[in-house]
Amino acid sequence: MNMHISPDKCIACTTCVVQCPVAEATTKFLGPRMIGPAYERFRLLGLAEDASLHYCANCKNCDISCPQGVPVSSLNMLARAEQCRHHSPSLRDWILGHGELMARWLRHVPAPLKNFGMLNPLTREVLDALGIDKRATLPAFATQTFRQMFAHIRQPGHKRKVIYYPGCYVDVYDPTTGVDMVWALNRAGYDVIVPNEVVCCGLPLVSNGFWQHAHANAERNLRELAGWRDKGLPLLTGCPSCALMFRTDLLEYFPDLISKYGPCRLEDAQKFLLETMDDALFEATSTAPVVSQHVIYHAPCHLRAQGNGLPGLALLRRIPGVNVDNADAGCCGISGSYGFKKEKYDIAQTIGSRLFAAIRESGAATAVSECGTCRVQIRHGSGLPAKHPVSILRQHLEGLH
Amino acid sequence: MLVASRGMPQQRTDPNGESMLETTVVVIGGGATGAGTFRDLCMRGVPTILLEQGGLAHGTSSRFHGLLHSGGRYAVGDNDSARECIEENTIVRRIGHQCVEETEGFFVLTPEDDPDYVQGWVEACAKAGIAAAEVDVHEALRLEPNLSPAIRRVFRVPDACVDGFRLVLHNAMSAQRYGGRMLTYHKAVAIHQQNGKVCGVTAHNTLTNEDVEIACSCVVNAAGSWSGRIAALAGLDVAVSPDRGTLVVFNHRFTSRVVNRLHPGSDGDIFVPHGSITILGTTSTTTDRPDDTIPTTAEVQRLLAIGEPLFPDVRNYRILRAFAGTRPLYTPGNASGRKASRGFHVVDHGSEGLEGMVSIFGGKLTTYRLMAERAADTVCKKLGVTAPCRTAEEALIPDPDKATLALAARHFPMAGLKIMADRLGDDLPSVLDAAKAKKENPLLCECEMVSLAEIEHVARDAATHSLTDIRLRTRLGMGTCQGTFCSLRTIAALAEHNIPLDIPPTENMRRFLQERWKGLRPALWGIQAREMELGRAVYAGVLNLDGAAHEQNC
Amino acid sequence: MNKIADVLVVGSGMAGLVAALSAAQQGCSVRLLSAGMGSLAICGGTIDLLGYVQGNAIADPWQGMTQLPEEHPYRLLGVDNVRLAMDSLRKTLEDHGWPMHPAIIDGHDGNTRLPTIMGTLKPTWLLPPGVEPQTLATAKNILVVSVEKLRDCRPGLVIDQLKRYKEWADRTYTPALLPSPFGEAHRSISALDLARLADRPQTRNWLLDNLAQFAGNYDLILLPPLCGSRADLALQQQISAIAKCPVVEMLSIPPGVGGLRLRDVLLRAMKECGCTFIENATALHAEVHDGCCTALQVNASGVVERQAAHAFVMATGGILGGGITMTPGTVQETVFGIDIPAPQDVGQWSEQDIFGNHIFSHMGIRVDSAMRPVGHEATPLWQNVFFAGRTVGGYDYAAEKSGLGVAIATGWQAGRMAARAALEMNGKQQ
Repeated sequence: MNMHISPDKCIACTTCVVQCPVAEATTKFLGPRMIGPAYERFRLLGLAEDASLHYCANCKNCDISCPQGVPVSSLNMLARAEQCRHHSPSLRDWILGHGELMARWLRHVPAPLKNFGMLNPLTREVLDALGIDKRATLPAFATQTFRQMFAHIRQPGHKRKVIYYPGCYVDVYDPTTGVDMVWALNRAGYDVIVPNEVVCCGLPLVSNGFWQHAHANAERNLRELAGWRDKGLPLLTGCPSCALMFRTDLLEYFPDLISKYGPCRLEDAQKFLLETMDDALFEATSTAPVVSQHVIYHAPCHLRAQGNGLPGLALLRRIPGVNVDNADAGCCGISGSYGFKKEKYDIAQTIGSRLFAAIRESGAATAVSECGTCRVQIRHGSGLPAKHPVSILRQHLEGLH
Repeated sequence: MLVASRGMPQQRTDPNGESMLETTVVVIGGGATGAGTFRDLCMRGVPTILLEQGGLAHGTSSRFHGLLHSGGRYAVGDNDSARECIEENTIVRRIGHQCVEETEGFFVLTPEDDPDYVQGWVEACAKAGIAAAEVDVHEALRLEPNLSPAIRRVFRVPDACVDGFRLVLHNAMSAQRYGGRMLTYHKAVAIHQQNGKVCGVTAHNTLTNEDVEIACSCVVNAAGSWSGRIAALAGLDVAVSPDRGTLVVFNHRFTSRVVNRLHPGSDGDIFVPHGSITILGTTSTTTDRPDDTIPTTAEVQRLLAIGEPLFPDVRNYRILRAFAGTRPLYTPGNASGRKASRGFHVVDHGSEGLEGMVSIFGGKLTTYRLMAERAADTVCKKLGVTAPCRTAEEALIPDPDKATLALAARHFPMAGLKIMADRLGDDLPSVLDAAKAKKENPLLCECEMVSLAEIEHVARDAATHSLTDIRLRTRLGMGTCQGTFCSLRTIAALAEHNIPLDIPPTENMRRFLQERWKGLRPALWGIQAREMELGRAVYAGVLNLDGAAHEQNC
Repeated sequence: MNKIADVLVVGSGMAGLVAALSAAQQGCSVRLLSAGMGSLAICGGTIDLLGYVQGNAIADPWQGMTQLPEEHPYRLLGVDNVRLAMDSLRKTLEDHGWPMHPAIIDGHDGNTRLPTIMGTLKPTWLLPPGVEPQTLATAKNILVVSVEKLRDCRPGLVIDQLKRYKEWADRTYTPALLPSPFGEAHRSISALDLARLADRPQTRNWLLDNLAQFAGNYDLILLPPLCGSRADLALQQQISAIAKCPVVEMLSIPPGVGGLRLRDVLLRAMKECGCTFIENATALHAEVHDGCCTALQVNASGVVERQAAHAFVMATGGILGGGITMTPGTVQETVFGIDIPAPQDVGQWSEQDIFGNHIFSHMGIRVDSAMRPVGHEATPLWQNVFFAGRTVGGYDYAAEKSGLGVAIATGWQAGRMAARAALEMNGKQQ
């Protein structure tokens, strides 16, 4: 391995330091410019790693803000992979990186039991001792996985078909969002195929330092998706982090797999739905009475990094009765599992505090965001329920109030 | 004739109040050969003063690719030089490991090179005693993934990288420990003789514009490309021609080994990793000026074209700057350029009617120690000094002990610590004390990881007059941003802590940036052009350093 | 998303933001693409208009504009238009609670020489609220404040260097170093870290309490830009009230605390106008037909998306921002591929003196008075493409101290003209 990305594009302008939410929240972190391109020049020289590398949340705000196109977060993740090759990550990081795998192991255990097992105060003390902060709200396992539920949804038999990649969060913790997505795509005139072979995109594995596991997941996913891609089917996901992983990160992390299978750039499902509306395939109208609802929208950082603007927000604006504010208050702080970690919990709450305040002050009763863990953090930090845009869409168009 | 007593060079004031020094030997030239001779003589107990017209290594010793030759490059053309190289290479690694990165080197045959050259080269290496083992191309590409996949054959040799400036500095530090005295920014302007014997040197302090008289009985002319000019001061002539070589510095280390092209020596065919950067060199053009060191765009483009068969992405790597130096080639009968010998020569001018004058020239940095030994032998023979040369046995500077290093780790960034310890040598403990005494020890130069304590320590050194002097000692401003952030921080910290330099702050910064600019100009494109615009935005756009030049009039 | 915008603006520096606002104010739908955060993140909080013409300091920038060469963007626009652009920006700033003002000398507005963190003076035009040129000119007893561990600003240097100016020599200076509020920090702190402390009411007291101890003892306090990272007038007033004297921030190097305040205002204004902001999207190529541009191809995380619009404003930031690409021997505008004339020999692009009159520093797109790029015949290359900011040629922002001024003037004009072009095309289509 020992891969490197050229640090040459960095001109040390400090813009990324301005935008890094972690650097804003704590002086324990050296900051993106130093940890990324500046240290990279010394990594190539074989010098010691800086102790604060693990503070990078991989939230991508450095990449978004960099005027020179330096892949700062990927520099950091490659460095972390190299570091973890020499010093194995902790059990805590294993747990946080392998949520999907654990769910698969425990698949025969009923959800209430699993959740009791994982979330009871005693376990939380044990997890706390391992480094998962007991103050954090951990997502609960769903009674059925999305794929179990999907197996019972009969597709309408449209000619047009799409591939829906649910991502591990929807599959394991939040299947209703996935079901809502299938509903929306069906309504837009598409049959939905959920490939059975796909697994977690690997982002939690990369963030927690399990490079080889991420490589294995990537290979499994690309092998499966490349076939569908070659048949010309749109590849969609509702999860911004999965999308970004497939669109850019995998290309930087695993060039070997990309040259073998070619890239499978997942498209943002919200953007896809919006376009079906533009093409009049999908009318955002309902026979149900219009119910007005004030919601506040949070744009996940990994969505902002995609360069497609905020299609989820635009989608919400098309729903009759929905009055939506854009919180526009930066990162929520969670970054997948980052905010669950004991030494990072406070940092994550500080980062999210502006968003929480904006949400509370908005007067809205519901928050909306595409990203599953952003929603966990919003619920935890603001006390408001948080939903995916397609769930709001379905709720209004089907009159499910 | 004055002969100084053994021990330190003596200082006294003559009746007119002018500065007057006494010593036995004056070595002219603060490059590797001069500093090496200085050290050698001091270790043998001969009172010696070193004169350097600029800062240490102002000439060629800091203006080359930094390759500590295995000798492979000379094996075919000059097997004796090659043998000297491998012997001295081994010695320098031992005595100066803080100046050397033991990277090893590859000789690489590209599709553009003559495959028939290889056999002769392998045999010549064997004859010179250079281990040159063939490496499987796939293995070579695994080790150096940026090399061209089209390469044909690869050989591994014991090349290494050497920091020329640091090597000179550590020689000078060692010499001073043995009682030597060093005068930088002192230009030799006259060599005095009496009855056919050397009796003194006049040195001009270029910072204060004062002259210093030094009484001595021997002069060693180790002025490199300037040695013709020094010889002329004594009415002599030496067969030295400056030969200009331009090099390119890249922003990152894209090879971890020295990479040579396996063909007869030519322009632009050596890549040398050097700490955080990579250097590509070198062109060769005859020049009549030893200070002909302004690089041109044509030279940069030529280097890139020749480097491309080895590293196909070379045009995409960011060029930090270009620089040029002049080789002091020994050219009897007007041999020139690459045809000129890389061997060295010691001339005792006694045979030409001036007793006490010795010149040393030609050669290369790798063999500096041997050259110094031969020059010192010649001098000692004249002086009747019988002490043997010990420069090959004793380390230039002692290693810091483990306790010091452990303590240093608490005050300096870990990544920068080893390189800092290497460049500081003897000075590490005092820098550490300074860091401990401070509330803060921030990195002032983030690109090259140089901290406040190190900078202040160097700034306090009597030989430091400018930001450029600090740069050479610490690598301040030699990385990605080329001084945009660190020069202000350094000047500000020195003003705050009352460590004035001879040159006032804004002028010092202008000179420093101007010196950096010289190297940026010939490669003003790509990312580096953006970097330069950021620098202009900061220094002209925000800080108005350009306007202040005329407006600060008190 | 594939709805056609009236105006597509590329770039979110000062020129792009002003262009977007200017087009939106004409009633257009505006979409703004940004690759990176734009240079306001590394800019100071004052607005330069014109400080030097051919190396000579200019007290009245409006007067100075008349001495500029004809190809200078200010000359192309005309002084009156530049004034309208500046008035428009000042109104936006004022409407959003951040009124900026110039020095008034004998009834005319002019430049103010403001101290920098290096202790040099730089002429600038619009000053942040609370900075009064009169105080700078008359203060006798000055406190120069910085903070422990703040590498970029040391009072010792500021005082040394300020004293080298005649009009600042004869004053009394006191240095002060405030204790760092961060304690043990793994990294060096910047003025931005400190400014963000001042943003939050919970952490603001650090600054207020420290300044309170000096209250009443000085005529003027100079400090690095740490009085908040947002355009918060009440905070500025609170700070001066506590210090009982004017508190003036020195001009500083990146990160650009002052620039963030301007960005804060302009983004708020843009949001109110309903502009769509698309981050992390890099414009790659233009689709042009029959003298018009129809769309830009944009890299959106590895996928090339088509962004269609009726008119386009390119505010891509010149050499530094990537709007101009320099390769050995050639210079090109990056998206449309417009050749920019340059000598073949790169050695001629610059002068030996780092602060000389370089060819490269003026390199950029040649435009007409509407900011459309023009070809050899001085006719527009495309009817609906407009350039703004540093990608426009004919000026040297660094030497002239005209960076944000030209960005605002050209951005205002490009946005206005793009709106006109878009409305015309809309009209044609309907």
